[in-house]
Order: sequence, then structure tokens, then C-alpha cells
Amino acid sequence: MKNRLRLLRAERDWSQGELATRLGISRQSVNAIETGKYDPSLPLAFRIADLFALRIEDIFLRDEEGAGE
Amino acid sequence: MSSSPQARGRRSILVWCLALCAAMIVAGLVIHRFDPGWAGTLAIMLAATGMTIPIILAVERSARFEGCLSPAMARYNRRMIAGSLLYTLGLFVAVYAYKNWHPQGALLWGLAMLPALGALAMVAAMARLLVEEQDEYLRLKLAQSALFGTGALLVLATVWGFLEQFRLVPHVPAWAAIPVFAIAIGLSRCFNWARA
Repeated sequence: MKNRLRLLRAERDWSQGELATRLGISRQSVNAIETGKYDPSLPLAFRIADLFALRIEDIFLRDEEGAGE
Repeated sequence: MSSSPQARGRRSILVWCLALCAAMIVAGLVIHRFDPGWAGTLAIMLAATGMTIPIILAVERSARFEGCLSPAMARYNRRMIAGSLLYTLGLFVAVYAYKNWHPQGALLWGLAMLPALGALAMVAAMARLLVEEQDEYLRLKLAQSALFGTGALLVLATVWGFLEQFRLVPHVPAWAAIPVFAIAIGLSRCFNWARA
């Protein structure tokens, strides 16, 4: 599943480590999600959405939709 | 020549692992050739086992640089150090008592189980890590490594068992299951590192 996490993080000028701290997960996990190696669970996806004040579907996209920008 | 903290961390782990191998070989040679007595042998064995401490600390430093050191992993590392020291101590006491006091009956059963306590403590530490790890991605990687270790152990035990049945290879004691499992997990993590 593709996502806009890297873009959203860059917009806020956060490092992967900073985002990881805010989400309470490891930097490796943030990297795995951003690069599409790992799809987060629904609870983590909600935490990510809450952090960016967006809906889950605004961050995580179906493969055919593409990652956007 | 400069290198990244990640590369330095991995190099440090490799150096300490080689140092542990060298320490084990030297300890074995010293015990075999000079017969330092039971207290000397115990001290040498504990010192050699103690070499696992800098390895684990190097692994922690590397994991911190890689961004995957969690509180659960730090607790696991401490438990593994305690388990390996307990194993060494239990093994030494059991072998020493067996050779020198020739115990029988229930005492012999108890002594035979003594080395297993440290090994079981290490298995329990692995189980606790899977339960306590809060980071779902790291937990997935741990579960994948454990499954790889289990599969490798099943394959090796089955193949070796049949080869042994036909007297093609020597007998291997059943306690070898734990080191084989641990080595397979280690290989799996090395493979993950290489892929990352």
C-alpha cells in the first residue's frame, strides 16, 4: 500500500526519528512504512492520521491511486 | 576514511564476536593444557562467557543507530546476559559434581537439569521479548526471525536424524537444538540487515 507519510513529514520538517517519537514507535518502523515495506495495523494507522489531523484514506492510498506528489 | 555510525556499529559487533570466539578457544586450550583446578576453570569459563556482555552492548549501540532499540529489547538483552551466565555456572557445577561426587538417583536428575535452567531462562527471555515488544514492526521482524529459526531447526534435525539413522553422521545431543535455533535466528537477522 502506498502512502504520503514522507511528504507529510517533510511538510512539517520532521525527521524520521522525530515522527517516530511522536508516534511512540521506532525510527526503523517509520522508515519501513514510508518505503512501503510494511503496512501499519489499523490502530497505528489511526494514530498516524490523528497526528497529522487527516483521515486514514488521505494518508494511505490504494496501489492504483499512486502516492501522489 | 570515515564511515557511518551504522557501519561502525556493525563492525564493532563483528570484532567482539571474533574476540568471543578467540576467548573461547584460548579458554579451552588453557583448561586442557594447564588444568587450573575447579576454581580456575570456573573463573576462565565465566570470563569467556562474560565476553558476551560487550557483544550485547555493541548490538544495543548498533540498534540505537539503526533506530530499532526498544525498551523491550534492552530488557531482553539483560535477561540474555543473566541466562548465559546462569547456563555457564549450571553447566560447570553439573559437570564438576558428576565427575567428582558420582551422584545417583534424584540428585543426578537434578544435576542433569541444572545446565538446562540457564538455557530455559534464555528461551523464556525470547518469549518475553515477543510479548513485551510494543513496536508492531519490530515484533513482526522478531516473529519472522523466530519462525525462520524454528523452520531451520526442524529441517536440520530431520535431515540429520535420518543421516544419523544410517550411520552417515555422528550422534548430536538433543541440547544442540538451542544453539542451532539461536544461530538460525542470528543468520535471519544478518540477512535482514543486509537487505536493509
